[in-house]
Amino acid sequence: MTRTLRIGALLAVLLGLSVAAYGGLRHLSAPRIDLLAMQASQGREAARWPLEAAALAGNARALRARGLSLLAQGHPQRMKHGMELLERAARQGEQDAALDLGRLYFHGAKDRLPDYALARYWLEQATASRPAASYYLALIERNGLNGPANPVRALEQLQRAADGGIAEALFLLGNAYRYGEGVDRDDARALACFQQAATLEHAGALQALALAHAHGELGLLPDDSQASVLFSLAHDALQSPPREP
Amino acid sequence: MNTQAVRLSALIVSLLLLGGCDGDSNSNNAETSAPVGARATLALLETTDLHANIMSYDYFKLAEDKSLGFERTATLIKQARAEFANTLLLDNGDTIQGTVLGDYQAIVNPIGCDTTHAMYKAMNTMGYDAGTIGNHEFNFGLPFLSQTSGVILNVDAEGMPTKKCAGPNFPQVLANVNSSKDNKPLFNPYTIINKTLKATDASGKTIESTIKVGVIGFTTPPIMNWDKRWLDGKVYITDTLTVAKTYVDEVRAKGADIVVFLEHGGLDNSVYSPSTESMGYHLSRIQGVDAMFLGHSHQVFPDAKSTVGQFNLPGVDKANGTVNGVPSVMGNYWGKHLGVIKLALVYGKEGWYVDQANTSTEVRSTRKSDGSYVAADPSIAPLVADAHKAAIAYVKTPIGDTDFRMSTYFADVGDVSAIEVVNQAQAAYVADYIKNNLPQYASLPVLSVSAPFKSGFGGGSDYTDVAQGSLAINNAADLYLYANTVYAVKVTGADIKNWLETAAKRFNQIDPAQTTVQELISTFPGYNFDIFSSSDVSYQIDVTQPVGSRIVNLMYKGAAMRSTDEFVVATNNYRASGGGSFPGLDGSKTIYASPDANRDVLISYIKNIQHLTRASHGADRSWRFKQVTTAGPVVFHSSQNKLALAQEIGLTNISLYQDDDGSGKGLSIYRIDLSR
Repeated sequence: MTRTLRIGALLAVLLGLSVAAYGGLRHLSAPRIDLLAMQASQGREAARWPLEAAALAGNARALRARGLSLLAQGHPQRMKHGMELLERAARQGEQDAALDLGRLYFHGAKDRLPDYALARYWLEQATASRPAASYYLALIERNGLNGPANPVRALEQLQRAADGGIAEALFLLGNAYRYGEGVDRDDARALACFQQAATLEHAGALQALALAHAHGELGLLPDDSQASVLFSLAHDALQSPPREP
Repeated sequence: MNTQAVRLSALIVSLLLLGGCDGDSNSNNAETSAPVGARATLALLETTDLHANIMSYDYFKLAEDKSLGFERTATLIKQARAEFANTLLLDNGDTIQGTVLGDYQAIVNPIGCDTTHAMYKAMNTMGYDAGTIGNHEFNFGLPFLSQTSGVILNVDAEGMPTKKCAGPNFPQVLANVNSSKDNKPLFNPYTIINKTLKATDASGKTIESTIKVGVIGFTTPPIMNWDKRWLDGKVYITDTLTVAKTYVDEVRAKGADIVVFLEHGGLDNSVYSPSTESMGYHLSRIQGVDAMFLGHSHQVFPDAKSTVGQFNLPGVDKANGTVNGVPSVMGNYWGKHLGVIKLALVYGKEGWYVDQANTSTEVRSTRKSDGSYVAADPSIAPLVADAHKAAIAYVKTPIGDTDFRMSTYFADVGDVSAIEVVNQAQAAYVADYIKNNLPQYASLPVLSVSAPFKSGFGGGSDYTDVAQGSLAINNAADLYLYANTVYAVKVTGADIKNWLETAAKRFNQIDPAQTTVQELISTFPGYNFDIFSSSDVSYQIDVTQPVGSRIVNLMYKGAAMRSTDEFVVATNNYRASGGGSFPGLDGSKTIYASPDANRDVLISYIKNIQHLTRASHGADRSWRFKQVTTAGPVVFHSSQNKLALAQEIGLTNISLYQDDDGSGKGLSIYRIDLSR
């Protein structure tokens, strides 16, 4: 084989391998990316390069992981880049990235005020598949954070989040039914909401149930021993850092 | 590289090696086999989430609590050992942290290398066969974990023990946490227990045989967040399902007849992710697992009546105690229950295997059907007597003193004696945090609200009442009753007014023209009666007005609080996330969700200030009732014989209306003159 042909063949093989690698990296599964991201965030250097490579190859989940990792570094330039990567991932249909963006714009940061209009935009991208997005939309609606407060719409979003198993939404809904805020007072529904949130280890719901058992609220008979169990569970639930929906 | 070629070579090499001696120190070369058809029962006993509860004792109430404590679980263990021919006792993690005793041994007066942790002293006397590492084992850092588990962990951390310390007499196994230093499991991922079984052959004759039980442990991945400060860069979570498969294969290759998972987690059937908190559901699907212990969620499984979400998933049989066919058990927490997986074993052509049809699971409670509790096993208390006494003494150790009585008997009518110091502690804590971490809010005033948590529901003694004099930790527990963490919210003057209006639902609407008696206090709970207690804030509550229109003259530093003024208010997780349905307090205003308990913040504050005085810490009444003359009496209920105290506090508009309110709960009816 001539030298040119040999070089050409080598290049073709390399190209083929790159394409294969690119394809492989681009199609790495979400759990695989999550494991790499988890280990990279735990300080495992060996997990970083496959993650970066997958992001370069356009893997949406990896783009998201890279974006979150840059945001965690707190450096303004990196944060800007991090947001861009999240946006790319979200535009590729990566729903968790859309939720992340919604959350980030909702909370703002040290050098960035909340932007509820952008928060709403991204949350609405995620709301079909991510009940947590409905929770944040409910907060925007009930507090009038982007346009006038819309209690009816807020309640719909809250119910949606609650149906999707978001403990914070269940707690808010339970309180709404308990005190008749925007809905008719309904102790039974309040109790059901708190109980569901309690199984999800929501500290506030566990405390609400404990108090209800202690004082005979929400149609329950006073029961000190049940109250005691629930108070301990509430204490337990607070041993881990608070989780955001 | 051709991976198939690599695999083939590895296979050839391992086959060559297998022919040689098995170097595993756990293996017993003199195995006793059994005739085919022999049967045996092996009961796997589970304790989980004991959380340093050895004695049946509540260290905050300084009183016995029979509903918890390993000294009673020990009785259940002994009963099970008497009942079953063969048992293995296994613990599923969260052992060393969770009570004052645990804190005492780890932080207050840390035990030395030669001292066995009190929990392990008790467990050692009962004779455990194995255990795993729960997430709370990491709470005190890797050096303490290394010390108390008696394992030299290979990590780069300051203060690691240089020798093996006193610890459990049983192996603790953990498969899914690796050391970043050597990329190997932090602990032994598994152990293989050689158990001599009392079995019966097909004709019913008693025989003995050995079974090898492989035990593999898993902990919950979010430890990397929860204990980030100790673990980041030092250890990492591996892919739990991958390591599970690897080690099942490995223990089987080493001759394990049956495999047991110790999963310190619950059940979650959502799509698998390596960071999933509860791995039990996915682990149950691993080929080759015979039984599974669950934990961490502090629930009871099996339980036919359970409404807990994780036990009502497809594939989970909550009545019979199986998860995707695998016998599983979750033995509650604090020693309240003992989990039992009763394995029916049959000896087949290749050795012992589990007869699923005759295997059953249950959880046994220390509480008997008549409501009483099993007796404590007398062998436990003497082992931990010193640690127990030390923990009690610690709770009783003075942290400061007060020159005034701090109570909630009259909190509903203006007394702040039990609330002001809580507000001061909360405000100081939040202000400090903001100064150091949230500079964007540093210009905002920091205020605080709190409520009287005990307002006499249970009767005349169901109030906070801390005597003048020495203050100890149990007094702080009286001043701050609930398990809450400090939350800071950013609110406007309008939000604050709404907040106070909601709190003012505590009162009934009083008709000044009514001549017959009117009850002042409504059914709105006292724990929602949030108040300020600062000389910077003042307001009146007009109880003649309907709900929503009662707050008048809301002032901050002598000027009317404007609706657009911005403030940071320190409160707690319950309130900030929506408890009580206070307008706008729904999670959207939180600027800081602290991991620190309000009670601990209070304790630190008192330790710092040392001497509480009424003048500085008990008399700043931010609120008063708007004065109104009523045609008839306005009354409220409180503890009997407290009128003198009301006078002492300066509540001169209170008089006794009726000595006994007739409820039989030790309450009087007091009258308040709203015109003064």
